[in-house]
Amino acid sequence: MNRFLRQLRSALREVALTPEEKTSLRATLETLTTNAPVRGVVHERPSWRRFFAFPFPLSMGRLLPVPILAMLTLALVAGASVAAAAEHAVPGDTLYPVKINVNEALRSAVTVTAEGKASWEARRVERRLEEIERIAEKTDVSATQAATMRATFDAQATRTQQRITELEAQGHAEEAAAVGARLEAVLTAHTTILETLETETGGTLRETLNGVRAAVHDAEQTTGRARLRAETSVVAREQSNVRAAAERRRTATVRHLAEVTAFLDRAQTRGTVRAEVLADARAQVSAAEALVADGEAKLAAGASGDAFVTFQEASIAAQRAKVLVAQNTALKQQRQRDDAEKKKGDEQKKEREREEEKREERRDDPRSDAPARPRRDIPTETTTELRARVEDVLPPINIRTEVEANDPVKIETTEEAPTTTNATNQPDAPPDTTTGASTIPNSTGMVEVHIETEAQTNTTIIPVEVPVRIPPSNPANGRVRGLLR
Amino acid sequence: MQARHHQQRFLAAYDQYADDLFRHCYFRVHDRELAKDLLQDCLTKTWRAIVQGEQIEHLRAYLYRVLERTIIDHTRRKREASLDALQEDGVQFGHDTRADLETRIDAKRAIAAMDTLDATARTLVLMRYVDGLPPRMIAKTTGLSTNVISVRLNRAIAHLRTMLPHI
Repeated sequence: MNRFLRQLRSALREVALTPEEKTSLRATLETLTTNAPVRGVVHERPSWRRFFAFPFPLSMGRLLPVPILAMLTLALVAGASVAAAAEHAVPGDTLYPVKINVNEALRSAVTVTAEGKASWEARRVERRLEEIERIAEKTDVSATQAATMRATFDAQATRTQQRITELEAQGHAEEAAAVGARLEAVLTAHTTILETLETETGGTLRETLNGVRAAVHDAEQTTGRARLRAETSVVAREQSNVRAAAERRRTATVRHLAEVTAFLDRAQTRGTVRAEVLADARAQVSAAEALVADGEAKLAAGASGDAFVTFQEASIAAQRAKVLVAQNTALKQQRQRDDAEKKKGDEQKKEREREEEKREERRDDPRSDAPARPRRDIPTETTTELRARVEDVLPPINIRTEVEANDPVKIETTEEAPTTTNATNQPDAPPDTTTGASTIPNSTGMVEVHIETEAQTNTTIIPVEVPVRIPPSNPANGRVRGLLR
Repeated sequence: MQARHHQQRFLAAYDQYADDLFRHCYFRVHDRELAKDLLQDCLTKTWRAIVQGEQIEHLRAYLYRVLERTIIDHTRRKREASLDALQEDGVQFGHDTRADLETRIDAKRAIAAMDTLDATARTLVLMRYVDGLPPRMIAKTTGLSTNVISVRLNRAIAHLRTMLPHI
């Protein structure tokens, strides 16, 4: 390099970051790279391992060993219909744990982007609320059931808020604001629905719903704050970026509004929803339209930040209208289905009674030479006993089997040595000498309960909470298969 | 472990190339603060790409490409700051303690001379003679052929020589 170029080079090198600037930018990058680390890069891991490595909610922050997950997955594949059926389960149903811990966990696992994950978590919050409302429509809720539902809802809401915060921390403030707005709309709409349900019911159920509504309200407040934070960081960007963000939000909101209007029109023509609910939703939509117009004006005036926030609000109003109508429709349809089923159930009962009478007549007839029905050679227990035993294993879980009371059933148990998951726990309690059962403090894990009746076979996987009590394995009692970690 | 490896590689690249990248940005936008913002933008985008599993063979070339796109995105949205604005603001320099007054004056002239070049030539001069990138890598980042690059570099240097006769 000749002299001229050398001098040019050293002269131009004068333009550089100052040491302070360099250090401060480095600190920013260190935070960024630590908070949003490279994880689970697809090409670095064989796909099957990645598939089994999804963070299971019961794993207490660790991944379950591959064999257990593989088994779970097998159970799932074998029971694809189980999974499909579980989609409609509500708390208290046998299949409900499958819905929460298998179906939903699997869907979380296959969602890759941070935004996708956050919006799926938000949808899960909505699903919890839908379930609570369906139960409230259907049956009376026990105190434990209510407490469980509230706890599940709270946990889910907290998880979603964390996701939103993470999303914002990763520099996706716009997406975080959108998910936050959606969740907020869902929570507001469900507060209204719960209020209506409360006025329609009485007694303990009313108290339960009131408690849930308080929790929903709290979550709404927290989400609102998270959304506001995300919006603030969008608005604090450089002016041209804010404008672009506001324009994107406008496009999304206008599209969303059109969808919601079409949805409301359909609901009106079908008459699936009560008039006052529809009127409320229509009012929300017109509010959203007004907000969009307001936003347009602000955008034209150059107040991009204000415009962004206004479009967000419009989108919340539109979403709220949609959730209101959708959930009211779903509840109404369920009511109709339940009525139909009840009718059918009554008919079937009558039919059974008639058959029973006929059989009695035949048994009385001495000429009857109908062969005795072969009994299956299995150790039997009544369902009441089974339930008592399973509830013994799983104290905090309310198990409802599809089996009728006092049907003969068989339970299988295979015990595996359980371990305490937390080293700081108390040492294992000594085995109870009278029954041979042992109590393990603070264990968590899964129990697969295999219930077999003459009519059907049912396998369900149930999370075990603390403390776990394992009954002694007694061959005469059959076997409950416990997978405890 | 993979995560740590990626993070270290990325931060090492920052330590090594931050000044070069910043200078590029500066010569394009003529605004120190904006250049810093764009640089940070570029680094964030690159990290996001790494997180999303993009295979990056030459991190340096990749950074230059992302920076280029970031600058283009920015200038499309906003008209480039004029030279007058630059002179009004006064050119700021990095604080190299070794630099004496004479080289500072040289630097000021060199920067002014650089601004008489068109953007592509300026980028090429910076890449080749200040950052010391080999022509093949320049070709990779700019998408020009090595032939075009050397022709344009020769012309640019001849022009700079006439602008800076005292060097």
